[in-house]
Amino acid sequence: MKKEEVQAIFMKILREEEDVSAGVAAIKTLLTVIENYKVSTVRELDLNLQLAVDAMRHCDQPVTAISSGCELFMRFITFAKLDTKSFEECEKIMLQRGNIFLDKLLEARGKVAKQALSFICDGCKILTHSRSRVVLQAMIEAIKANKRFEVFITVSAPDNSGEMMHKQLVAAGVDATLILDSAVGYVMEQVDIVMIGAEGVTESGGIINKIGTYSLGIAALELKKPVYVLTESFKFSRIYPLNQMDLPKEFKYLSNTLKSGKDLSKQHPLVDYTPPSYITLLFTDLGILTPSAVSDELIKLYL
Amino acid sequence: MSSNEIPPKSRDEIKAARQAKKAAKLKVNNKTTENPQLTKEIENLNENNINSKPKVESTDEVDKSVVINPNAVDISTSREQIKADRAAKKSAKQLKKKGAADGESNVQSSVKKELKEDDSVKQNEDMTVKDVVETLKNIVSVAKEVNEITTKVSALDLGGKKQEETGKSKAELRAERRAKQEAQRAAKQAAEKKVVKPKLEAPTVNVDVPKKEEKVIKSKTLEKSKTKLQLAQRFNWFQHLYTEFDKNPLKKIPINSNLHPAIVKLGVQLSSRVVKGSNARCIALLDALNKMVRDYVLPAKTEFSRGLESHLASSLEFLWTTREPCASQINAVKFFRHHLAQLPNNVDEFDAKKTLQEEIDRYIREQIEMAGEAISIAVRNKISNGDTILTYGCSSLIEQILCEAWEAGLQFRTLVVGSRVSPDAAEMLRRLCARGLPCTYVDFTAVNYVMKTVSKVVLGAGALLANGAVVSAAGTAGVALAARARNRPVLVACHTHKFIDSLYTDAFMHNQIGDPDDLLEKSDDNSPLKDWRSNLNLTPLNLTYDVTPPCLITAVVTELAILPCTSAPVVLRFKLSEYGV
Repeated sequence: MKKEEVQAIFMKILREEEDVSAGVAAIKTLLTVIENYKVSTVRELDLNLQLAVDAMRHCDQPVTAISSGCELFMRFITFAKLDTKSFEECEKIMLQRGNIFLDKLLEARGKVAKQALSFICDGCKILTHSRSRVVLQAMIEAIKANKRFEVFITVSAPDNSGEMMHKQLVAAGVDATLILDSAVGYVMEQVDIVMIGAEGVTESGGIINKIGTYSLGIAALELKKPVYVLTESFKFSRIYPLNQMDLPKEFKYLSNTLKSGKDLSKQHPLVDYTPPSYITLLFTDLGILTPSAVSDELIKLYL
Repeated sequence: MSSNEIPPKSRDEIKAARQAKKAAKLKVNNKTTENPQLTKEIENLNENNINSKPKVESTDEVDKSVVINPNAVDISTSREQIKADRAAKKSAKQLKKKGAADGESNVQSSVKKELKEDDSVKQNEDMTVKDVVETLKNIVSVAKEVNEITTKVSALDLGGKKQEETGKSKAELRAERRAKQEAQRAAKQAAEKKVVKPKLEAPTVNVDVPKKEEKVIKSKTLEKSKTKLQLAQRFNWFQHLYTEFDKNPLKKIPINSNLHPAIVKLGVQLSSRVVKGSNARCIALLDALNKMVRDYVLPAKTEFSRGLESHLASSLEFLWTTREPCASQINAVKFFRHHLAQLPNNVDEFDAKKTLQEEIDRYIREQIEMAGEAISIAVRNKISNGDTILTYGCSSLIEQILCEAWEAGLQFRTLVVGSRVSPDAAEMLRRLCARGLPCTYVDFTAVNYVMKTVSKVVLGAGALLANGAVVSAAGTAGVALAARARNRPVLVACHTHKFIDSLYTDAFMHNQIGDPDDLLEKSDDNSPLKDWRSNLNLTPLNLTYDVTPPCLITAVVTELAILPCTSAPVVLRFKLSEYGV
């Protein structure tokens, strides 16, 4: 098994399935690895998976979701390893469980969208940042439920992913307005709620998300607007950043940038860390959580 | 025959006549007041301070030969007069005597004066009925001494005084003194009701005064007042925290208690603060328990766990009197009891001991040593090159973290913050410097200023409460607040064995009062705190702990994970399911 092969599989999944987030794509890739590369021992399998995870992290894709998804999957696998006898049996169970796991993940988005529905009320104005598949689905659900609301979307430099979000919302029939990143403060006073997605949720209950989320959160707190984060639970990861500087480098920069050896302080970071104090609630497939409940869930999951 | 002719007087009549005569005589006697027998009677009465009937009857019996029944009433009534007369006389005599004594035996009289002054001071200060009883006892003891001295004085004076007071015996002198004391007592009792509360502490001092010589008494009272805080000088909000902290805990050991020497030793170490810091206290406690288990001899016909449990209870009772248990000790005891209770009923003594000792060793190894290593690694990952790490006070865990991070090749500076009151920070500094870490020491007063150069604050903890608040050495909250004001991340390194499920939000509820003398600047002779004991308006307060609210803490580093401190209940729940404690 080669690194490039894994990367190819991963990129193919990402390209073909627009609707799939990087984390799910990573898990799909790992399942393919188990299926396609036959090995005879658990140890080998483990090494293979480690290699695959490593390969995906160097894929020029945002690493946050990949790493948390993979970590969770590996955890899932290690549980399976312990209680089986022969390796064939073990492999079978792993695949079975992996698929159940994947199905659950794919269901998760729908669950989250449903939970957010009751928080979108008629006539409210929502501010969102960048592009988030969960937020998009929640808004489409709300439109289907005949709610009338207005959405402001930031353009979200540097990749202008907000434009795509805007397009998709307008197509769904949402009254959407594209705003500049620098207009967040201007718009904040007229919006009712701030609804954002997340690339990863840290153990502290804060989130790692597209750059600009932190300033959005600060503005929202200052103007006392609730900040709702819509995220699937597989994005929960076991990291605890203390501040922006403490975020791992591979989260902030693409692997290409890291490899190029440029002065990182001169580079644009891709993500920032929003501390839990700026977040009102997290909508997850585990339920609606306060930021402090995240670490409770993580402890349940990992200890 | 003429006598026969006269209407024969009956015996009764004659008696009556005699009685009348005697009554007349007695009255005369009363006025002269020189009747020695009577005075003796009155002395007796005064001594016992009882003027009830039985006494009167007894005096009658003694004097039956002289005094006949009907006159008893007269005597009792006249006694009042006699008393009054005597009191007047005595006061006059006392004055004379004093003058004479001053002239002739200065030493003795001065001692006597002192005593008298003592008496009067005490009397003024006394408050409650109990205290009155106590002071009465004191007065009796003092009176004995006065007695001796006065006898000496009177012996010296005898030559000069004989002509004036020929009739006066030693007994009479004693009686005089008794009367005087009674008068003083009465005055004092009257005064008590009026006196407000200015000196409440005085009786406690008096109570402890043993019946010894005056000099010894004085030195003792000085000592006592050193260790005991005056009631008025206790800080109002912290009244419940004051304990009679005695420097010598050995006094507290009940006689015939079979406490293990290791426990006694630990008690002394705890009270003298030789063993301090919650990890050290926990390990010391477990070590002492280990020795106690090893040497425990099971009484016949006793279940092992029950026998040891009662032994444990008495040991702990002693230990907790020496110093209040900290969270880690409470958890360790809980753990020990849990394993003790799990022993089967018919367990062999040897096996049970072995199991318990193994469990204790395992607890120390897993909960303290290995956990410390895990925490050290977790914090090390958070330290980056070029950081300035601020720490407050002394913590064995922080020391371990910093030293290991330094040995791992990280380049950082350590800023040790200490307060003048506690020498802990100096100890920390000493240990860090010995390992070659670049350190800076600043006083707590400078913490706000240096905070801007700091990149991370790492603090130790005494206990972590269920609401996420951190109980730690006094001053920690101030440091955390300063860090918060400058947005510096505050990491609290804490083993999970220090998590407790109690909950309080401020430092008033649970705390310990340290020695107020620690607040004193020893080198400064003009320190206004120097004579705080004599100044009732001055209340030094030396608190040991404070509570840092969870909002000031960025993260708690435990051996399980780095957690937000609001996750403390999850850790408690986890530990309950995992260890049963």
